[in-house]
Amino acid sequence: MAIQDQIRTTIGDDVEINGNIKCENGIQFNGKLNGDLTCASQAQIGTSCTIKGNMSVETVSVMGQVNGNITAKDKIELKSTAKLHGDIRARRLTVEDGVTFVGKVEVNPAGAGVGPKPQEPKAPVVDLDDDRETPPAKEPASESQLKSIFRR
Amino acid sequence: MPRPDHNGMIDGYSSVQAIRRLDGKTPRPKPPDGELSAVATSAGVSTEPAVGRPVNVAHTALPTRHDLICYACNYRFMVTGRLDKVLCPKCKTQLETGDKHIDGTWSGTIQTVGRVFINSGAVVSSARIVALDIRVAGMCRSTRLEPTRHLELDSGAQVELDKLSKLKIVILESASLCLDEPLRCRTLEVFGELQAEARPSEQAVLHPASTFRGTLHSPRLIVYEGAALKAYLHISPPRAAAVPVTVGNPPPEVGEPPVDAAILQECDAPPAVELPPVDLATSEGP
Repeated sequence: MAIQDQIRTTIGDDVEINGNIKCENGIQFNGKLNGDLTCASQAQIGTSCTIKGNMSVETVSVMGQVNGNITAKDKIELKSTAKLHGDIRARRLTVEDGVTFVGKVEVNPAGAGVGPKPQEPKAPVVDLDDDRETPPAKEPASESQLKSIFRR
Repeated sequence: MPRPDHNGMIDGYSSVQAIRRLDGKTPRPKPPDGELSAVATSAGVSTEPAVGRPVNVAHTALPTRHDLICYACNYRFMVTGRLDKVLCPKCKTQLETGDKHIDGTWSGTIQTVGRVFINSGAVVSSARIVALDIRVAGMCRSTRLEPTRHLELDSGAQVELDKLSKLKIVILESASLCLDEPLRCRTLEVFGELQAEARPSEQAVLHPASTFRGTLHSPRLIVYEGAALKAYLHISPPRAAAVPVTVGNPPPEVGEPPVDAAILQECDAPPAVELPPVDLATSEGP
């Protein structure tokens, strides 16, 4: 279903709210918010919108200015007019050309954390035909061995 | 007679043969029984009606197009067909066109409008490589890499980072790189995995299925859906000069900075010379 069909609340650009907003359905916010925004559905942050606070949403499309952290369960879209100062965390992320963004990003479409590659230890191979137990295989190359040495 | 390809299509060569037979230069071969007879319709002339189902010429084979950049004058031009002997249309330099593969230890100079592959295990030292694209999977020491398009890094690549500041870097899909020192380049495109402190001067692009870890400082960033990120980003596009532009006013021209009008007036007017006052009472006559 298109995002416009799920938006039930629209706040105009002449509205200024001091406090937190919590909604279950989609919201299109074009005003000013000094507080947190929690939306269990999709949120649209308009071009003229300014939010000073954190956001916790399902999906969000940012075209305005946000000074705070954004946590999305699904997707974050930063459009070309977006200005974001804070950390973002989501499963999916798209960033258009022209975005201003300062902060940390943690995005992993696969679902697991994006960290250093874990080393999987290999179990020793036992040949059923041979009573002797084969020596354990060499440990896989660590990250330091895999990384390329870049020298000046 | 022209024989149709699959699905009743004929190729260009068959159509040319049909036209030649119309002119009487080539005798018409006797069609076997049950064979379709196609007549070249590109000439707009048909001598006998087609037997069997009609033939549709769906597409025509086109020669391959090559976008080349001359390594002598950096002129960009296009060549179609096979790259045999290519002359730059601007500087008339005969350009080398072949791709080069480097294995083992090598030192020298390569200039080509093709691609150069420094394979895994290769060691290139004190060399100069000029090519359209350069793919590095080996080691390069004291080497000038001058790709006219971009430099591709694969797993195992070892290059001198301080010489990449003006290049377009592409991290290949099969690459998994971890850099110890900051990566300064012009543009950065990541298709594979990269862990680094990246500082492209123009733009960074993270393609789907790419993974970036570390720090990224760039004036522009494009992230496609599917990219994985765990990094600190500092993306700040350059701002234009704060000049009020209203509707109807042309935007300020980018060029020499505007000169203050007061300074102009002072420069145009001749300098005023103050003459000492003459006291007629004390001045002596001739």
